[in-house]
Amino acid sequence: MKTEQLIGALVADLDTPVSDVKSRLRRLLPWSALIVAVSFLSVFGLRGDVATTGLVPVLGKVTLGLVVATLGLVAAVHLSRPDRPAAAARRVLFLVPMMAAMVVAADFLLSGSPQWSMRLFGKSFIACLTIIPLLAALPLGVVLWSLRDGATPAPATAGALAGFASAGIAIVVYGLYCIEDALPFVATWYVLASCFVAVAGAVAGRVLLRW
Amino acid sequence: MRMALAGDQAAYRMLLVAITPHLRTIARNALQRAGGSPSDIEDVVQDTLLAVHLKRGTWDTTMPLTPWLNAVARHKAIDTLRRKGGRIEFDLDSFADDVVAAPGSGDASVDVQTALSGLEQRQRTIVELMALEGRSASEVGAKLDMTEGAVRVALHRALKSMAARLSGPKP
Repeated sequence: MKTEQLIGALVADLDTPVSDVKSRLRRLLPWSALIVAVSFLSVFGLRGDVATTGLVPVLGKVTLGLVVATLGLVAAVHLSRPDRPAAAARRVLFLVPMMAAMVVAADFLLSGSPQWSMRLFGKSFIACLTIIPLLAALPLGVVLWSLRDGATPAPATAGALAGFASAGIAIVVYGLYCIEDALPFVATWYVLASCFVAVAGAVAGRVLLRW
Repeated sequence: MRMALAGDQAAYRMLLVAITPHLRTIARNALQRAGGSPSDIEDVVQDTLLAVHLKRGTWDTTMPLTPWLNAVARHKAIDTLRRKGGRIEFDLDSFADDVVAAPGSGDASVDVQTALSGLEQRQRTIVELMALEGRSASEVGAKLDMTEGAVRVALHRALKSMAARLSGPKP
């Protein structure tokens, strides 16, 4: 096909509306978060003390989730245009794990070492590591699908950011259920689970976000 | 481009025609630097035009167009080089010949042709009628017994799946 002929076909297709990343996310992401929250919490229930002693840790976990989700989402949307530099977005990937590592280290220095490993491992870190990625799966699909309308210069990075965005949502939901409140526990396992989701997002992004 | 995004077809055609030589320069430079084959230039150009069209929503209308355009063109050049990684042919002489022989003509592209032939029959007919013969959507619709809207949708799907084929691993 000659180039002028291709241009003819493109011009004929001008009337088709262009879908854009942000509007699709705005339409779909709240629903996916709601579906995940309702389906998980209706089976497993909120933690019993959410209105009393558990309020402060729950608020802390919700805040952590919102921060992770917002960072990931903003950076992923930013990186959905081809002329955006990937380096800054890539740094965002390391922000949350680094902050978490600092929290864990500070907690280690402040508390005595024998009780520290109990604070770190708690009783349910395996549940945390499996449930958070499971809860993140649907939002991750939605974010990746929306990002396909974009044109990212770095598909794997954008996919990893999508992973953090959806892991943040999963943290908010899981945080309403999980009763482990020790700081090193949350900082280690919640964030490690998010990193798993980010890796899955990066792998999927390499394929799905090519254009 | 702003006029084109508002639906002005004539402005859009002018824009696409005007940027094509620029895209060709970028493609030629990128391929030359990476040791790609000069016969791929037009493939990259057409692939880039397709991407410019399908991804025009990712241009921030408050920014100048050129940086965005360059980013798309570079991405597509790299993409083509990666896709054809298996057969790198580098010959300076043939490069020079080619450039002299075809100083920015609208050559046929092998890749887009391949992507076109991979489409299903009806989509291919629509693209061929509209692109090669320059028919309008309503004419094509009358010929194929489809509504004008259905022709438009089919054309859009066809362009999208051509782009997907072009950026796939290996055709």
